[in-house]
Amino acid sequence: MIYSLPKHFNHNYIDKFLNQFGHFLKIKKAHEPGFTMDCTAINNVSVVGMLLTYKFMEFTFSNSRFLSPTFQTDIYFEKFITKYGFEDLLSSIVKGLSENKRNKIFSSLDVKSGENFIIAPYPMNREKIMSYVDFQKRYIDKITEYYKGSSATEMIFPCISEILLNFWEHATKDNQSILVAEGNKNKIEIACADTGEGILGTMIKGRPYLTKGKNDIEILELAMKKDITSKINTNHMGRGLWVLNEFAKKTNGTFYVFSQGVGLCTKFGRTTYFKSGFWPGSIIYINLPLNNIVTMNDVLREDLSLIPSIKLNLT
Amino acid sequence: MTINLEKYGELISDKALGEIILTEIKKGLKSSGNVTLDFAEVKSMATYNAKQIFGQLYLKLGPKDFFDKIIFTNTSSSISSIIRLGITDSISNSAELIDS
Repeated sequence: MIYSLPKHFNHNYIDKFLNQFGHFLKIKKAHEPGFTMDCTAINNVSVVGMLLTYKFMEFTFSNSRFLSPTFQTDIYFEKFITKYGFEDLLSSIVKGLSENKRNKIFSSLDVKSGENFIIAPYPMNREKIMSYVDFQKRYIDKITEYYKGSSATEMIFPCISEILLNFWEHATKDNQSILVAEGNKNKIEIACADTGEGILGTMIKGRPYLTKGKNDIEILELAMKKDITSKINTNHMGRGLWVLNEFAKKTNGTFYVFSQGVGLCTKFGRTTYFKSGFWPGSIIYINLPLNNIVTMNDVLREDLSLIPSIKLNLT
Repeated sequence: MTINLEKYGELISDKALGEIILTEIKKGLKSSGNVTLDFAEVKSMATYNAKQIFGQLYLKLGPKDFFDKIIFTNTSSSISSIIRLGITDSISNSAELIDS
């Protein structure tokens, strides 16, 4: 059977993508024959569209989900594959290269900076293909340079900080959590996805009493609350997703979370929760307009007014 | 003793890096009695790291010694807010542990 991707595969299509393809990610059987993904109708793919196409292929190939699957592409789609730095990664999956060889590809990827800047796929894996210092040199320095003279990084870096630390720490059972981003002077999109355990799974495991009797949407709502972490008695504060959502709310940006059949969407300052197609793990997507810079201080303002006087010796 | 955090990059957002910084501060406290942390080039810090580094130090030293011995310089208001949040969370966690 042929499954076609739409003309425009951007963040507005994530939910539809999961409804269309999610059931293949619930591993029920292997070697299902006759799967074809048709990418030839695509006119435009955003960075999150490319990420999800890649993660879908990686997951289904590594789990032998299909028997001889076909991916139909054309010159337009291939142009986007190259643009976002997925060329060698996709071909490594099709060729069945080992994870070690794929890791070498990751370590050769870089930031592309022109009219837009693009963070090529960055693997947030536990074995650390790329050292943290290397990551800073390759990515952070270049983003700083791109936004020189603007306060955009006051908003971008806290978001990247929370994603980097919280995401790979929570994305258990998948050592290929991928971060991508694309930005220009008007907006930035950051997305990451893994096919590990997922937010619901880690919440149920880490907070059994808190999640008992709750449905999937209620568990996701719980995970989004500030100060609720799945990892109690650790240095985690349960702030990662909350901080990202607050940035989206305060800037009139967009924020999506999808995990294990549920999702949330924040748009125009309002958050809604809903049932979605299945994704084994988590997808986080944030799109922030840069015409209204909000800082971490703005996000934490209410909390700080409630914080008891903790004196710091600031000079 | 001054620790220039620039050498760790513009983002402090890594669990292992947080451990390295904490260890360096503890060593500095042992050898010099107080430590000045220069945040000049640091653009952001994950909330996890704030709790990991400063929450632990605050609980260990107590409010007075923390103020006297840990000196912050070139710290943006956003980073000092994150540090305050990390400390507060550590305090409430330790209170919960005592209560339970």
